[in-house]
Amino acid sequence: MVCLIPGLLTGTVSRLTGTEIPTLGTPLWSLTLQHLGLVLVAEVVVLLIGVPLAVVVTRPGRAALMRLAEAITGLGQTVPTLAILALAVPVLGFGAPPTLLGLFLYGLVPVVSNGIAGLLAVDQPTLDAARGMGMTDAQRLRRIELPLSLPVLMAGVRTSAVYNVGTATIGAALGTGGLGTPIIEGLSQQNTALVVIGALLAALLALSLDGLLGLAVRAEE
Amino acid sequence: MIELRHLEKRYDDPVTGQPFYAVRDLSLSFPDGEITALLGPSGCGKTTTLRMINRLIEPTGGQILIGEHDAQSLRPEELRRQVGYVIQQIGLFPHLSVAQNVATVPELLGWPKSKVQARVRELLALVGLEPDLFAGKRPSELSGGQQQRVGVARALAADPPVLLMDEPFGALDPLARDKLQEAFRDIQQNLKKTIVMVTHDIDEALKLGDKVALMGAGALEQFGTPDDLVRRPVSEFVRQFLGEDALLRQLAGVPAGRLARPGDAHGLPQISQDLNARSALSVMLRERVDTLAVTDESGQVSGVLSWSDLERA
Amino acid sequence: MLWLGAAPMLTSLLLPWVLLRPNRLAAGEFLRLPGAQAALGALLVMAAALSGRFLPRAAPLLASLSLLTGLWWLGAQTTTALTGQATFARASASSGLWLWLLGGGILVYGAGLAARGMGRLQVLLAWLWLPGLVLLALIGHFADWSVIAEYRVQRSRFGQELGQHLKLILSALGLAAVIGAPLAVWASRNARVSGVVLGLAGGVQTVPSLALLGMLIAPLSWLANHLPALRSLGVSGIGTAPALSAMTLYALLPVLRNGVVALRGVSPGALDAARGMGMTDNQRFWRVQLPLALPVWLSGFRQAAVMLVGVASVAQLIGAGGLGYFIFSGLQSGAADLILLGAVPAALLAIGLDALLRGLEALLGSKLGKV
Repeated sequence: MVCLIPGLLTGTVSRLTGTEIPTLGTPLWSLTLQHLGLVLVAEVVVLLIGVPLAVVVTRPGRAALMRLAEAITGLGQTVPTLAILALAVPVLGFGAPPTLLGLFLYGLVPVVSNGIAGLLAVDQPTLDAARGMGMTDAQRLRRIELPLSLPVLMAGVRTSAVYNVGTATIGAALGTGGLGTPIIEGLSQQNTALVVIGALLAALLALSLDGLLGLAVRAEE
Repeated sequence: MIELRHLEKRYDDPVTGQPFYAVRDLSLSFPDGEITALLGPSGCGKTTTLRMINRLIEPTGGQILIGEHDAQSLRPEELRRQVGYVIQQIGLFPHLSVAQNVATVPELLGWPKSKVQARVRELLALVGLEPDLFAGKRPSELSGGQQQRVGVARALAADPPVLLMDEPFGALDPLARDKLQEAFRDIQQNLKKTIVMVTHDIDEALKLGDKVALMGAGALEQFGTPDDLVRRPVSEFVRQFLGEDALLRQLAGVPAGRLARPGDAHGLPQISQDLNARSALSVMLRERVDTLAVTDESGQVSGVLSWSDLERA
Repeated sequence: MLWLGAAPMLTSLLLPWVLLRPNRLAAGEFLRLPGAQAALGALLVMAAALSGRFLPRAAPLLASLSLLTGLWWLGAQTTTALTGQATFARASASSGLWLWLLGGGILVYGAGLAARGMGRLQVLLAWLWLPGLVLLALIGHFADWSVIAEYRVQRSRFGQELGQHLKLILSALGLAAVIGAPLAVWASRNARVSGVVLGLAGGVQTVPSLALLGMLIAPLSWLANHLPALRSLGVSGIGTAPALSAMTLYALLPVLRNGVVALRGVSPGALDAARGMGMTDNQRFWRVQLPLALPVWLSGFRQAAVMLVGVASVAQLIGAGGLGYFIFSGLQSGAADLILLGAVPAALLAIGLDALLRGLEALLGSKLGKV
């Protein structure tokens, strides 16, 4: 977070690379917040859709549905993000909407697959005991299955968020803003220092998000 | 009183469509306030029968009466909250503390907090776990025996009149199993629950069961006291299943003190009253005598045990 | 389950199917599917979805036909739309058509999953659409689709960029294998080495691909300026050299991670038995450990390959070419067809590579007796 102090990072990188750094239209801290905002919004949508999806397909007797869901969500990570963004542009136009769609599709996979893995890993005797004690399906899900699968699910959320910090930089190519902006500017102006700044901030953002989510998981336990 | 009337569970083979009967035309009454052991070889339908009582498996035919009610007339969840359930794999909730585990059913039933708390402490003490020491622990911090004590406490939490137990002591090592069986027998002496206990362990059935229902291939072979089964088997199957040493097995479940009577103990080899009758028999054979002196906790002679006492056991 | 595919397909019938524009950049008008064909489509989809319940054996065939019908319409509807239009007019697929194809894909995949229990014929029928698609493409059925029209304009460039794309991916994968394999073997035998190596590779992964490409410009151009020998080998600040370096670094993580996991995951019992039989350390590695670890290791290469398809499409930004060339030029000029000309092959390439390598993994797994 220290890196966001105006001038400190730019000054250091400029001196290290020996390149002059042009001022960007938007201050770095605002780009960072924009970037974080994109990732978080996408992550919320991922959770809102991914967790119920994982729950639905892990109910008994839905093995085929589960495979189908894994295959469909898997496409989101197989198809290159740039291709997804580009495919979305003719429909959604430029700016945040296609980027959010790309982040959502890319971030969905780890959450859904970890959600499924976590729910399937819940010990059968534990579930049998819960049923035998008279818990309804909903009570069993809320009191037993979800809490027990939470650590695995959270690991998926972590992966998803960290990867999406990197993925979101590509959104700058569509004019979404965020930390991809200095990188793309730097590339077109042949200014390595700008690229390094964008990269450093994105990497730092990814690492702090990873650390924060890690702390959250530990506090949960 | 739990009563099974012509209970049936049929599975149809998905490929051939051939029906297979896990349980077939089973009629049986489990007496109130007693332990009935459902005994039999694996695959005989005893666990299926147990799981049909709290409708974890739905019967395909027949009727189950619990008290006055037909089990089918209640919502399955409602029924299960009135019936305690203990399983071999214990199935404690690993993310909850011991106290929270025990409190599960009272909470499902909406008991007030203070009542739940008091009940949890009472139960932990009952199963021999010091409440202050164990209430806050996680299941993973307990030994197998301690875990199953929590399992029993959890099943008893809402004071259900009926307790269903599926091989409750099967996963424990022999030492822990013996101790827990003893503790359980003491608890039952005070609580007088109606208990159905599935087991494939003949010793356990003879030792804990007030009644034993021996099943084979989905049907009832014999229902009676352990003594009935051991001394008066109704079929070759029952005799073979219990084995030639059934009498000895039965003696193993009886402490010598219970069979002793007053008499002249002068000069006789002494045994403790806690020694089981089968071991007492071994002592007689080793010492070449037909009478032993039985001592109480303080080591004082409290009576004598003779060959004829063992025969009557 | 088939309803998951059928629902979007039925919805798609309410949406516009073709966008007709006077030229490649102008705005245009949306055309719907004619009523009779929409009714036929609805009937076919309903039949496919219902067959899942009432006649499961017919489901794979009906699902394949539904998807194939969509592909047929892609060609037929664009041709119809262009009849009587000026030369520069373009007819592109619109939301309805895309949704139909997406739903059709789900339908076919779902039917294929269900078909596994039914026998070889049903599984083959679920794949019937693929030869159908190839056939339609070969007879020039899609000739009037705007993306194909764009392709005709860019034909020579397309071959060149696709080749560059593949070259980048395969070279990076090869380099990652040459560097990563010995590293993984070393790391699998030494906990401290594996910690350092995996930590470094993981760190590289948090740097966005876009930035990693850019950051290598400076050191590589410095190297090229100071070491003429390298320069003559083609190393320079922009173009293939930094792209390939970045992609290799990127591919290292999955290759290393899966390698370490796979080599460590070999059952100690098997290794112990091998030692007990008198194998030397070398024999043990080549005859027991490596064959047993290979399927899991290969899935690391698959992950790397799929990721590289994506990184390679960004490589255009540092002048390395590839399919990204079409995507970025399309984005700049607002030419949707040009974007698709880059994005659709990139997507198909990723999906195809993934499927191919998964198949190889399964084959290897069953051959080596480990799933």
